[in-house]
Amino acid sequence: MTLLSTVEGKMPQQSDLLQGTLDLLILKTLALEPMHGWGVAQRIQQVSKDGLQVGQGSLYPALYRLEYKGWIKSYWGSSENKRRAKFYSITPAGRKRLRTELAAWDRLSAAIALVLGRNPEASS
Amino acid sequence: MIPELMTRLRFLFFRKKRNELEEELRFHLEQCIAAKSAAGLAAEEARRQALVDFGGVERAREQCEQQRPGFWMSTFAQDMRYGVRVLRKSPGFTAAAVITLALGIGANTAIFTVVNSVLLKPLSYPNAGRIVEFGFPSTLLVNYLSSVPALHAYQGQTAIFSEVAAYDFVGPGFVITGDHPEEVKGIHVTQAYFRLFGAPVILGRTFTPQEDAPNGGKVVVLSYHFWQNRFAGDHNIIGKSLSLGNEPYTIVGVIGEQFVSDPEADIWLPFQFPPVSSDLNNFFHVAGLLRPGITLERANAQLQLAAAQYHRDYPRTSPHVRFHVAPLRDSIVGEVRNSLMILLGAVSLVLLIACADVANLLLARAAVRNREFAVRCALGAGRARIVRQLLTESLLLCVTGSRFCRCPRPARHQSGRPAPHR
Repeated sequence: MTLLSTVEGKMPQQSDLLQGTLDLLILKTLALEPMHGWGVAQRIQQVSKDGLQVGQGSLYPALYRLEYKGWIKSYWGSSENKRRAKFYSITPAGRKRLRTELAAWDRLSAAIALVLGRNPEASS
Repeated sequence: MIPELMTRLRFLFFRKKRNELEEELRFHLEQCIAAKSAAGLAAEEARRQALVDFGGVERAREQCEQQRPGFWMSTFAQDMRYGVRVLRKSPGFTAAAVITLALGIGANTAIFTVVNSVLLKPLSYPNAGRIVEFGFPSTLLVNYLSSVPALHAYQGQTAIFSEVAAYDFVGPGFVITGDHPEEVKGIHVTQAYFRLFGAPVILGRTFTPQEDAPNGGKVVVLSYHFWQNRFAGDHNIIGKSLSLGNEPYTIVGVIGEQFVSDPEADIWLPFQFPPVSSDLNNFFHVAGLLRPGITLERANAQLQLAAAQYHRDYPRTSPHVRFHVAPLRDSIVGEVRNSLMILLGAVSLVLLIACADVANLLLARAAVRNREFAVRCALGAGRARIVRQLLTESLLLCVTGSRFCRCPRPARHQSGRPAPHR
């Protein structure tokens, strides 16, 4: 299942990213401010400079999963264009989770970079 | 931590409203269309592209639903309901499977209950692990009866046994004479008997060594139930007289309720063996309490020396005479152990056959239900889901089968002591 697709030029290259990565991205996005689902998807796309597109089919299951775990909570509010929309905001438990996930991510990406020889210190 | 738990619990019981998700998805779609229109696409084209991008709404909804904690519980309940309906629709098959399982499981439960109480549960005596029974081994089996000279030989082994006591192997009937004649079961014991088996004395005392000697007087110890039934639990019973066979016996003590003796007894009387005897008849049991740390092997080795001395003292005995001790349970259970094990093996096979029968029945049914599975697959049921459904049905059959095998529990001794088998 493609959770995230990376877009590179005209040849979209699909890469299966781990489910946990999407959770991490959503938590990080919601840590800035409460947002509705559409907003989360847009924000991830913008911040990644169109490099990451979150598929709707995986965004909402992920949001529901995070809500069921108590890391984010939802409420009905009105959107920018005065339309009723469901907003998500991060909970204190979610912030704690985000910190541990980020630490784990740093460890993992540093290790992978070392193996691939992409680390500036390692390559010089 | 607590709020997180509460959130999870809340969602466990209250699912989100279905139309909430619908509205949320619709909002997403509208935003998508609006974004595409803003990028310069015609309204119709923007809508088309947005729908293509969005993918299946139903699928997204399904996946959201699956995130719910307790999702598996609701599918399990669904499978259960469906299973009950399916089984009800074919009563013949269900009855056959349930009865087969009930018989298989029931037979096993019955035999295992016996094995458990006879072979597995520890005897209820405080030092049950250290209590051994004396016997004379012969080529085939051990004769667990002893004579007075043998008892004296055992009692000499104070380095190995802290207590040695003799007791009747069958309770002779005694007749209480007087106004309300009644036959009671009484067994003769030596004075160490109560200490050895850890019998709790709730009133008075047990026999003194003097009372256990010849002409020690006519004294009797009562069991709890006899005391309750005959004397209505009279606390001033000690020192009163009980007339047995027209002879007055003085009641010296009462034993607590939880003590169950083998053989069963209403009253205990002292043996009053003479200190020296040449009567080589074997007519009573002898039990011993091993000193802590003494193994059965060491006791048996030591006893052979005693047996040699015994033969020198009583030349009329066989020169090959040997003494032997075995754990009390072995002497009680004896050859019954083998029969029970064979029985247990047999009923296990019966259960195996029952399971094979039910498996065959299920297999035959699965062939018939092929069409049903094909329809469910076509409707989108995954292989795992169908396997789960079938497992749930089998579980339902097993549970129903085991519900039907309830058999009356065997009557238990108050203390949980295995019923005596001899």
